Amino acid sequence: MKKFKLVQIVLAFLLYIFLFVFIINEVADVLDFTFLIENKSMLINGAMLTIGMSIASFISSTIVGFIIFLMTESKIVFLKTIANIYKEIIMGTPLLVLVFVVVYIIGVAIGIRNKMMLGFLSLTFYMSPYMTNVFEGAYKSIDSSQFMVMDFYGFNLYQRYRYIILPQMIRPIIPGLINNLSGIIKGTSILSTIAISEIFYATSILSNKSYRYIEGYFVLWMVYLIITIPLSRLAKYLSRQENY
Amino acid sequence: MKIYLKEVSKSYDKKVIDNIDLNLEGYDAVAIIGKSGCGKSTLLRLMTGIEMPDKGRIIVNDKELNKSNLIEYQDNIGIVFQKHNLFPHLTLLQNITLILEKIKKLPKKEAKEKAINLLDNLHLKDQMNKRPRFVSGGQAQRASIARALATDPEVVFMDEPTAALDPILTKEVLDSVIGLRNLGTKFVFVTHEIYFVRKFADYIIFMDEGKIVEQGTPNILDNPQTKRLQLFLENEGR
Repeated sequence: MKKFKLVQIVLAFLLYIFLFVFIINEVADVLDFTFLIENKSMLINGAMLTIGMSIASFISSTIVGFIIFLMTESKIVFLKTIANIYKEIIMGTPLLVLVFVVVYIIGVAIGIRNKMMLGFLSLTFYMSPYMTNVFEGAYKSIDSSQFMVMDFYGFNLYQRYRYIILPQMIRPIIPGLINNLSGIIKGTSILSTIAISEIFYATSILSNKSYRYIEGYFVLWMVYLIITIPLSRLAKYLSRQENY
Repeated sequence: MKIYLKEVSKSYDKKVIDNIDLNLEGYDAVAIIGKSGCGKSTLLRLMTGIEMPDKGRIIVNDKELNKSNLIEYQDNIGIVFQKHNLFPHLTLLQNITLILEKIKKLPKKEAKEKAINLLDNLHLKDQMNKRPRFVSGGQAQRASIARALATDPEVVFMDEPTAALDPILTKEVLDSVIGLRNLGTKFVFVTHEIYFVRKFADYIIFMDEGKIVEQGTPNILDNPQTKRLQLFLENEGR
Protein backbone atom coordinates (compact mmCIF):
# COMPACT_ATOMS: atom_id res chain seq x y z
CA MET A 1 0.00 0.00 0.00
CA LYS A 2 2.84 2.36 0.93
CA LYS A 3 4.68 1.42 -2.28
CA PHE A 4 1.58 2.17 -4.34
CA LYS A 5 1.29 5.58 -2.72
CA LEU A 6 4.94 6.32 -3.52
CA VAL A 7 4.45 5.32 -7.14
CA GLN A 8 1.53 7.73 -7.41
CA ILE A 9 3.59 10.55 -5.94
CA VAL A 10 6.45 9.86 -8.40
CA LEU A 11 3.97 9.77 -11.28
CA ALA A 12 2.52 13.14 -10.22
CA PHE A 13 6.01 14.66 -10.18
CA LEU A 14 6.82 13.14 -13.57
CA LEU A 15 3.63 14.59 -15.02
CA TYR A 16 4.66 18.08 -13.90
CA ILE A 17 8.19 17.63 -15.26
CA PHE A 18 6.78 16.47 -18.60
CA LEU A 19 4.42 19.47 -18.84
CA PHE A 20 7.21 21.79 -17.84
CA VAL A 21 9.67 20.49 -20.46
CA PHE A 22 6.93 20.39 -23.10
CA ILE A 23 5.93 24.03 -22.57
CA ILE A 24 9.49 25.32 -22.47
CA ASN A 25 10.26 23.33 -25.60
CA GLU A 26 7.25 24.78 -27.41
CA VAL A 27 7.90 28.43 -26.58
CA ALA A 28 11.65 28.64 -26.97
CA ASP A 29 13.68 27.56 -30.01
CA VAL A 30 17.00 28.29 -28.41
CA LEU A 31 17.23 29.33 -24.80
CA ASP A 32 20.00 31.74 -23.98
CA PHE A 33 20.59 32.83 -20.42
CA THR A 34 23.83 34.73 -21.12
CA PHE A 35 22.31 38.16 -20.57
CA LEU A 36 21.20 37.13 -17.11
CA ILE A 37 24.61 35.73 -16.21
CA GLU A 38 26.31 38.87 -17.47
CA ASN A 39 24.05 41.01 -15.30
CA LYS A 40 23.94 38.72 -12.30
CA SER A 41 24.92 41.47 -9.86
CA MET A 42 21.76 43.38 -10.82
CA LEU A 43 19.70 40.24 -10.25
CA ILE A 44 21.39 39.51 -6.94
CA ASN A 45 20.79 43.10 -5.78
CA GLY A 46 17.16 42.74 -6.88
CA ALA A 47 16.82 39.47 -4.99
CA MET A 48 18.42 40.99 -1.89
CA LEU A 49 16.05 43.95 -2.08
CA THR A 50 13.08 41.59 -2.45
CA ILE A 51 14.17 39.62 0.60
CA GLY A 52 14.95 42.75 2.63
CA MET A 53 11.68 44.44 1.72
CA SER A 54 9.79 41.21 2.48
CA ILE A 55 11.36 40.76 5.91
CA ALA A 56 10.80 44.41 6.86
CA SER A 57 7.18 44.29 5.66
CA PHE A 58 6.67 40.97 7.41
CA ILE A 59 7.81 42.39 10.75
CA SER A 60 5.83 45.61 10.41
CA SER A 61 2.65 43.93 9.17
CA THR A 62 2.89 41.39 12.00
CA ILE A 63 3.09 44.23 14.53
CA VAL A 64 0.27 46.23 12.90
CA GLY A 65 -1.76 43.02 12.49
CA PHE A 66 -1.34 42.25 16.17
CA ILE A 67 -2.45 45.74 17.18
CA ILE A 68 -5.50 45.41 14.91
CA PHE A 69 -6.17 42.00 16.49
CA LEU A 70 -6.06 43.50 20.00
CA MET A 71 -8.44 46.22 18.82
CA THR A 72 -10.88 43.69 17.36
CA GLU A 73 -10.87 41.79 20.67
CA SER A 74 -11.29 44.99 22.68
CA LYS A 75 -14.46 45.63 24.63
CA ILE A 76 -14.28 49.27 23.50
CA VAL A 77 -16.65 49.49 20.56
CA PHE A 78 -14.84 52.51 19.10
CA LEU A 79 -11.53 50.59 18.78
CA LYS A 80 -13.30 47.47 17.52
CA THR A 81 -15.10 49.48 14.83
CA ILE A 82 -11.92 51.27 13.71
CA ALA A 83 -10.17 47.90 13.36
CA ASN A 84 -13.04 46.26 11.50
CA ILE A 85 -13.37 49.13 9.03
CA TYR A 86 -9.61 49.02 8.39
CA LYS A 87 -9.79 45.28 7.73
CA GLU A 88 -12.75 45.58 5.38
CA ILE A 89 -11.17 48.39 3.35
CA ILE A 90 -7.75 46.78 2.99
CA MET A 91 -9.01 43.26 2.34
CA GLY A 92 -11.37 44.60 -0.33
CA THR A 93 -8.55 46.36 -2.16
CA PRO A 94 -6.20 44.59 -4.62
CA LEU A 95 -2.52 45.10 -3.81
CA LEU A 96 -1.87 46.84 -7.13
CA VAL A 97 -4.62 49.37 -6.43
CA LEU A 98 -3.43 49.81 -2.85
CA VAL A 99 0.11 50.57 -4.05
CA PHE A 100 -1.23 53.36 -6.27
CA VAL A 101 -3.45 54.67 -3.48
CA VAL A 102 -0.50 54.76 -1.09
CA VAL A 103 1.86 56.35 -3.63
CA TYR A 104 -0.44 58.89 -5.25
CA ILE A 105 -2.92 59.67 -2.49
CA ILE A 106 -1.63 58.80 1.00
CA GLY A 107 2.02 59.51 0.13
CA VAL A 108 1.12 62.91 -1.33
CA ALA A 109 -1.21 63.70 1.59
CA ILE A 110 1.39 62.98 4.26
CA GLY A 111 4.32 64.27 2.23
CA ILE A 112 6.30 61.05 1.73
CA ARG A 113 8.04 60.83 -1.63
CA ASN A 114 10.49 58.01 -0.94
CA LYS A 115 9.47 55.08 -3.17
CA MET A 116 10.98 52.46 -0.90
CA MET A 117 9.12 53.81 2.07
CA LEU A 118 5.87 53.95 0.11
CA GLY A 119 6.37 50.39 -1.14
CA PHE A 120 7.07 49.25 2.39
CA LEU A 121 3.95 51.02 3.67
CA SER A 122 1.83 49.47 0.90
CA LEU A 123 2.91 45.96 1.80
CA THR A 124 2.48 46.64 5.51
CA PHE A 125 -1.04 47.99 5.03
CA TYR A 126 -1.95 45.18 2.67
CA MET A 127 -0.69 42.27 4.76
CA SER A 128 -1.65 43.46 8.25
CA PRO A 129 -5.33 42.34 8.09
CA TYR A 130 -4.18 38.90 6.96
CA MET A 131 -1.85 38.84 9.96
CA THR A 132 -4.83 39.84 12.13
CA ASN A 133 -6.76 36.86 10.74
CA VAL A 134 -3.91 34.56 11.76
CA PHE A 135 -3.95 35.96 15.30
CA GLU A 136 -7.74 35.70 15.47
CA GLY A 137 -7.66 32.06 14.36
CA ALA A 138 -5.12 31.21 17.06
CA TYR A 139 -7.08 33.14 19.69
CA LYS A 140 -10.27 31.28 18.84
CA SER A 141 -8.48 27.95 19.21
CA ILE A 142 -8.14 28.62 22.95
CA ASP A 143 -10.87 26.74 24.79
CA SER A 144 -13.55 28.97 26.32
CA SER A 145 -13.24 27.09 29.62
CA GLN A 146 -9.84 28.72 30.12
CA PHE A 147 -11.43 32.15 29.99
CA MET A 148 -13.86 30.98 32.67
CA VAL A 149 -10.91 29.99 34.87
CA MET A 150 -9.18 33.32 34.22
CA ASP A 151 -12.39 35.17 35.11
CA PHE A 152 -12.79 33.13 38.27
CA TYR A 153 -9.25 33.80 39.51
CA GLY A 154 -9.43 37.47 38.51
CA PHE A 155 -6.65 37.62 35.91
CA ASN A 156 -6.24 41.16 34.62
CA LEU A 157 -5.84 41.91 30.91
CA TYR A 158 -2.03 41.87 31.02
CA GLN A 159 -1.93 38.59 32.97
CA ARG A 160 -4.40 36.97 30.56
CA TYR A 161 -2.29 37.76 27.52
CA ARG A 162 1.14 37.37 29.10
CA TYR A 163 0.63 34.05 30.88
CA ILE A 164 -2.24 32.29 29.17
CA ILE A 165 -3.31 33.59 25.78
CA LEU A 166 -0.06 34.54 24.00
CA PRO A 167 1.94 31.43 25.00
CA GLN A 168 -0.85 29.30 23.56
CA MET A 169 -1.13 31.40 20.41
CA ILE A 170 2.51 31.09 19.38
CA ARG A 171 2.37 27.57 17.96
CA PRO A 172 -0.85 27.95 15.96
CA ILE A 173 0.19 31.29 14.43
CA ILE A 174 3.56 30.18 13.07
CA PRO A 175 2.26 28.31 9.97
CA GLY A 176 -0.08 31.21 9.15
CA LEU A 177 2.69 33.75 9.53
CA ILE A 178 4.98 31.74 7.26
CA ASN A 179 2.24 31.53 4.62
CA ASN A 180 1.81 35.28 4.86
CA LEU A 181 5.56 35.79 4.47
CA SER A 182 5.30 33.79 1.28
CA GLY A 183 2.45 36.11 0.21
CA ILE A 184 4.59 39.16 0.95
CA ILE A 185 7.50 37.82 -1.11
CA LYS A 186 5.19 37.33 -4.08
CA GLY A 187 3.54 40.68 -3.40
CA THR A 188 6.84 42.55 -3.73
CA SER A 189 6.64 41.98 -7.50
CA ILE A 190 3.82 44.55 -7.60
CA LEU A 191 6.29 47.15 -6.34
CA SER A 192 7.93 47.04 -9.79
CA THR A 193 5.02 49.25 -10.91
CA ILE A 194 6.49 52.10 -8.89
CA ALA A 195 10.01 51.37 -10.17
CA ILE A 196 11.42 49.76 -7.03
CA SER A 197 14.31 47.68 -8.33
CA GLU A 198 13.40 44.39 -6.66
CA ILE A 199 13.93 41.11 -8.50
CA PHE A 200 10.85 41.40 -10.75
CA TYR A 201 11.75 44.92 -11.82
CA ALA A 202 15.43 44.02 -12.37
CA THR A 203 14.51 41.01 -14.49
CA SER A 204 11.97 43.00 -16.51
CA ILE A 205 14.58 45.66 -17.32
CA LEU A 206 17.09 43.03 -18.44
CA SER A 207 14.49 41.16 -20.50
CA ASN A 208 13.32 44.37 -22.16
CA LYS A 209 16.87 45.24 -23.12
CA SER A 210 17.68 41.85 -24.64
CA TYR A 211 14.16 40.90 -25.84
CA ARG A 212 14.63 37.58 -24.05
CA TYR A 213 11.43 37.51 -22.05
CA ILE A 214 11.07 33.72 -21.79
CA GLU A 215 14.45 33.23 -20.14
CA GLY A 216 13.98 36.26 -17.91
CA TYR A 217 10.57 35.37 -16.59
CA PHE A 218 11.46 31.70 -16.40
CA VAL A 219 14.38 32.45 -14.08
CA LEU A 220 12.21 34.87 -12.11
CA TRP A 221 9.57 32.18 -11.71
CA MET A 222 12.17 29.73 -10.46
CA VAL A 223 13.56 32.24 -7.97
CA TYR A 224 10.10 32.79 -6.47
CA LEU A 225 9.44 29.05 -6.29
CA ILE A 226 12.82 28.33 -4.70
CA ILE A 227 11.91 30.77 -1.93
CA THR A 228 8.19 30.07 -1.49
CA ILE A 229 7.98 26.26 -1.82
CA PRO A 230 10.28 25.56 1.17
CA LEU A 231 8.32 28.14 3.17
CA SER A 232 5.03 26.49 2.22
CA ARG A 233 6.39 23.03 3.12
CA LEU A 234 7.69 24.37 6.43
CA ALA A 235 4.27 25.88 7.21
CA LYS A 236 2.56 22.57 6.40
CA TYR A 237 5.02 20.65 8.56
CA LEU A 238 4.56 23.01 11.51
CA SER A 239 0.77 22.97 11.20
CA ARG A 240 0.87 19.18 11.56
CA GLN A 241 2.78 19.46 14.84
CA GLU A 242 0.52 18.84 17.79
CA ASN A 243 -0.49 21.72 19.94
CA TYR A 244 -0.39 21.48 23.72
CA MET B 1 -19.00 30.67 55.37
CA LYS B 2 -22.74 31.32 55.33
CA ILE B 3 -24.30 31.02 51.90
CA TYR B 4 -27.99 31.77 51.54
CA LEU B 5 -30.01 31.86 48.34
CA LYS B 6 -33.28 33.77 48.46
CA GLU B 7 -35.90 33.38 45.73
CA VAL B 8 -33.23 32.89 43.07
CA SER B 9 -34.23 32.39 39.43
CA LYS B 10 -32.18 32.10 36.27
CA SER B 11 -33.28 31.73 32.66
CA TYR B 12 -31.49 31.15 29.39
CA ASP B 13 -33.86 30.14 26.60
CA LYS B 14 -36.12 28.77 29.30
CA LYS B 15 -36.18 28.97 33.06
CA VAL B 16 -33.47 26.69 34.51
CA ILE B 17 -33.58 27.83 38.13
CA ASP B 18 -37.02 28.58 39.46
CA ASN B 19 -37.40 30.60 42.65
CA ILE B 20 -34.98 28.66 44.85
CA ASP B 21 -34.50 29.26 48.56
CA LEU B 22 -31.52 27.53 50.13
CA ASN B 23 -29.40 27.83 53.24
CA LEU B 24 -26.02 26.05 53.26
CA GLU B 25 -24.91 27.17 56.69
CA GLY B 26 -23.51 24.49 58.96
CA TYR B 27 -22.83 21.73 56.46
CA ASP B 28 -19.43 20.42 55.43
CA ALA B 29 -20.31 18.45 52.33
CA VAL B 30 -23.39 19.39 50.37
CA ALA B 31 -24.36 17.25 47.40
CA ILE B 32 -26.62 18.50 44.64
CA ILE B 33 -28.19 15.66 42.70
CA GLY B 34 -30.76 15.32 39.94
CA LYS B 35 -31.13 14.18 36.38
CA SER B 36 -29.28 15.90 33.51
CA GLY B 37 -30.69 19.33 32.68
CA CYS B 38 -32.44 19.76 36.02
CA GLY B 39 -30.45 22.94 36.74
CA LYS B 40 -27.95 21.61 39.28
CA SER B 41 -24.85 22.88 37.46
CA THR B 42 -26.47 26.27 36.98
CA LEU B 43 -27.26 26.39 40.68
CA LEU B 44 -23.60 25.69 41.46
CA ARG B 45 -22.46 28.39 39.03
CA LEU B 46 -24.82 30.85 40.70
CA MET B 47 -23.39 29.94 44.09
CA THR B 48 -19.85 30.59 42.82
CA GLY B 49 -20.72 33.90 41.21
CA ILE B 50 -19.67 32.65 37.75
CA GLU B 51 -23.26 33.49 36.81
CA MET B 52 -25.52 36.05 38.44
CA PRO B 53 -29.23 35.40 39.03
CA ASP B 54 -31.93 37.12 36.97
CA LYS B 55 -34.06 37.40 40.08
CA GLY B 56 -33.48 36.90 43.77
CA ARG B 57 -30.44 37.37 45.98
CA ILE B 58 -27.39 35.38 46.98
CA ILE B 59 -26.29 36.34 50.46
CA VAL B 60 -22.79 35.44 51.66
CA ASN B 61 -21.88 36.09 55.28
CA ASP B 62 -24.88 38.43 55.58
CA LYS B 63 -23.86 40.51 52.54
CA GLU B 64 -25.65 40.36 49.23
CA LEU B 65 -23.37 39.13 46.45
CA ASN B 66 -22.92 41.71 43.70
CA LYS B 67 -20.28 42.79 41.20
CA SER B 68 -18.45 44.93 43.72
CA ASN B 69 -17.83 42.15 46.27
CA LEU B 70 -17.67 39.24 43.81
CA ILE B 71 -13.86 39.16 43.59
CA GLU B 72 -13.54 39.18 47.37
CA TYR B 73 -16.03 36.29 47.57
CA GLN B 74 -14.32 34.28 44.83
CA ASP B 75 -11.00 34.76 46.64
CA ASN B 76 -12.45 32.65 49.43
CA ILE B 77 -13.82 29.78 47.39
CA GLY B 78 -12.37 27.19 45.06
CA ILE B 79 -13.91 25.59 42.01
CA VAL B 80 -13.44 22.33 40.14
CA PHE B 81 -15.09 22.07 36.74
CA GLN B 82 -16.47 19.07 34.85
CA LYS B 83 -13.40 19.02 32.65
CA HIS B 84 -10.17 19.73 34.49
CA ASN B 85 -9.80 23.12 32.74
CA LEU B 86 -6.10 23.24 33.50
CA PHE B 87 -4.04 25.54 31.30
CA PRO B 88 -2.68 23.12 28.68
CA HIS B 89 0.66 24.88 28.04
CA LEU B 90 1.67 24.73 31.71
CA THR B 91 2.75 21.77 33.80
CA LEU B 92 0.58 20.63 36.69
CA LEU B 93 2.95 22.46 39.04
CA GLN B 94 2.94 25.66 36.97
CA ASN B 95 -0.86 25.60 36.83
CA ILE B 96 -0.84 26.06 40.58
CA THR B 97 2.21 28.30 41.02
CA LEU B 98 0.88 30.72 38.39
CA ILE B 99 -2.23 31.35 40.49
CA LEU B 100 -0.24 31.62 43.70
CA GLU B 101 2.54 33.83 42.33
CA LYS B 102 0.80 36.11 39.90
CA ILE B 103 -2.70 36.33 41.31
CA LYS B 104 -2.20 35.74 45.03
CA LYS B 105 1.22 37.43 45.00
CA LEU B 106 3.01 34.77 47.01
CA PRO B 107 6.84 34.77 46.79
CA LYS B 108 8.10 32.34 44.15
CA LYS B 109 9.70 29.93 46.62
CA GLU B 110 6.70 29.85 48.91
CA ALA B 111 4.33 29.35 45.98
CA LYS B 112 6.36 26.43 44.69
CA GLU B 113 6.59 24.77 48.10
CA LYS B 114 2.86 25.13 48.63
CA ALA B 115 2.04 23.80 45.16
CA ILE B 116 4.32 20.78 45.60
CA ASN B 117 2.75 20.09 48.96
CA LEU B 118 -0.76 20.18 47.50
CA LEU B 119 0.19 17.93 44.60
CA ASP B 120 1.87 15.56 47.02
CA ASN B 121 -1.32 15.38 49.12
CA LEU B 122 -3.15 14.30 45.99
CA HIS B 123 -0.39 11.81 45.08
CA LEU B 124 0.74 13.78 42.06
CA LYS B 125 4.26 14.79 43.04
CA ASP B 126 5.85 12.47 40.50
CA GLN B 127 3.65 13.91 37.74
CA MET B 128 4.02 17.57 38.62
CA ASN B 129 6.35 18.50 35.76
CA LYS B 130 4.09 17.04 33.09
CA ARG B 131 1.60 19.03 31.07
CA PRO B 132 -2.09 18.01 31.44
CA ARG B 133 -2.25 16.07 28.17
CA PHE B 134 0.54 13.81 29.33
CA VAL B 135 -1.27 12.62 32.47
CA SER B 136 -4.48 10.61 32.83
CA GLY B 137 -7.88 12.29 33.10
CA GLY B 138 -8.05 11.37 36.77
CA GLN B 139 -4.62 12.83 37.48
CA ALA B 140 -5.51 16.04 35.64
CA GLN B 141 -8.75 16.31 37.58
CA ARG B 142 -6.88 15.78 40.85
CA ALA B 143 -4.46 18.52 39.82
CA SER B 144 -7.42 20.81 39.24
CA ILE B 145 -8.62 19.97 42.76
CA ALA B 146 -5.14 20.88 44.01
CA ARG B 147 -5.40 24.18 42.13
CA ALA B 148 -8.80 24.83 43.70
CA LEU B 149 -7.30 24.21 47.15
CA ALA B 150 -4.24 26.37 46.51
CA THR B 151 -5.94 29.58 47.56
CA ASP B 152 -7.00 28.07 50.92
CA PRO B 153 -10.69 28.36 50.12
CA GLU B 154 -13.34 28.13 52.80
CA VAL B 155 -15.51 26.09 50.44
CA VAL B 156 -14.67 24.15 47.28
CA PHE B 157 -17.43 23.90 44.68
CA MET B 158 -17.23 20.94 42.32
CA ASP B 159 -19.32 20.62 39.19
CA GLU B 160 -19.51 16.91 38.32
CA PRO B 161 -15.75 16.46 38.63
CA THR B 162 -15.94 12.86 37.45
CA ALA B 163 -18.37 13.33 34.55
CA ALA B 164 -15.64 12.91 31.94
CA LEU B 165 -13.91 9.98 33.62
CA ASP B 166 -14.20 6.22 33.43
CA PRO B 167 -15.14 4.26 36.61
CA ILE B 168 -11.54 3.57 37.68
CA LEU B 169 -10.48 7.20 37.33
CA THR B 170 -13.73 8.29 38.97
CA LYS B 171 -12.89 6.22 42.03
CA GLU B 172 -9.37 7.64 42.06
CA VAL B 173 -10.67 11.22 42.10
CA LEU B 174 -13.47 10.58 44.62
CA ASP B 175 -11.11 8.80 47.00
CA SER B 176 -8.90 11.88 46.93
CA VAL B 177 -11.87 14.10 47.70
CA ILE B 178 -12.84 11.89 50.64
CA GLY B 179 -9.28 12.23 51.92
CA LEU B 180 -9.52 16.01 51.68
CA ARG B 181 -12.77 16.15 53.58
CA ASN B 182 -11.07 14.30 56.36
CA LEU B 183 -8.53 17.16 56.40
CA GLY B 184 -11.34 19.65 57.02
CA THR B 185 -12.07 21.10 53.57
CA LYS B 186 -15.73 21.97 52.94
CA PHE B 187 -17.40 21.01 49.70
CA VAL B 188 -20.49 21.75 47.66
CA PHE B 189 -20.67 19.42 44.72
CA VAL B 190 -22.84 18.33 41.85
CA THR B 191 -22.65 14.65 41.03
CA HIS B 192 -24.34 11.60 39.57
CA GLU B 193 -22.39 9.23 41.79
CA ILE B 194 -25.00 8.23 44.38
CA TYR B 195 -22.67 5.82 46.20
CA PHE B 196 -20.27 8.74 46.68
CA VAL B 197 -23.06 10.99 47.93
CA ARG B 198 -23.99 8.40 50.53
CA LYS B 199 -20.42 8.08 51.67
CA PHE B 200 -19.44 11.71 51.57
CA ALA B 201 -22.31 14.18 51.90
CA ASP B 202 -23.89 15.45 55.11
CA TYR B 203 -26.62 17.33 53.27
CA ILE B 204 -28.35 16.45 50.00
CA ILE B 205 -30.31 18.62 47.62
CA PHE B 206 -32.39 16.85 44.99
CA MET B 207 -33.44 19.03 42.06
CA ASP B 208 -35.87 18.59 39.21
CA GLU B 209 -36.98 21.07 36.54
CA GLY B 210 -35.15 23.97 38.16
CA LYS B 211 -36.66 23.47 41.61
CA ILE B 212 -35.49 21.84 44.81
CA VAL B 213 -37.79 18.87 45.23
CA GLU B 214 -36.25 17.35 48.38
CA GLN B 215 -33.42 18.29 50.67
CA GLY B 216 -32.05 16.91 53.90
CA THR B 217 -29.56 14.51 55.43
CA PRO B 218 -28.46 11.39 53.48
CA ASN B 219 -31.48 9.61 54.97
CA ILE B 220 -33.62 11.10 52.20
CA LEU B 221 -31.96 8.63 49.83
CA ASP B 222 -33.24 5.68 51.88
CA ASN B 223 -36.62 7.17 52.48
CA PRO B 224 -37.59 9.40 49.53
CA GLN B 225 -40.70 11.46 50.15
CA THR B 226 -41.44 12.24 46.53
CA LYS B 227 -42.10 10.10 43.48
CA ARG B 228 -39.53 12.08 41.53
CA LEU B 229 -36.64 11.30 43.87
CA GLN B 230 -37.78 7.68 44.05
CA LEU B 231 -37.74 7.47 40.23
CA PHE B 232 -34.39 9.19 40.04
CA LEU B 233 -32.82 6.75 42.48
CA GLU B 234 -34.32 3.82 40.62
CA ASN B 235 -32.93 5.11 37.34
CA GLU B 236 -29.53 5.57 38.89
CA GLY B 237 -29.74 1.92 39.89
CA ARG B 238 -29.43 2.48 43.59
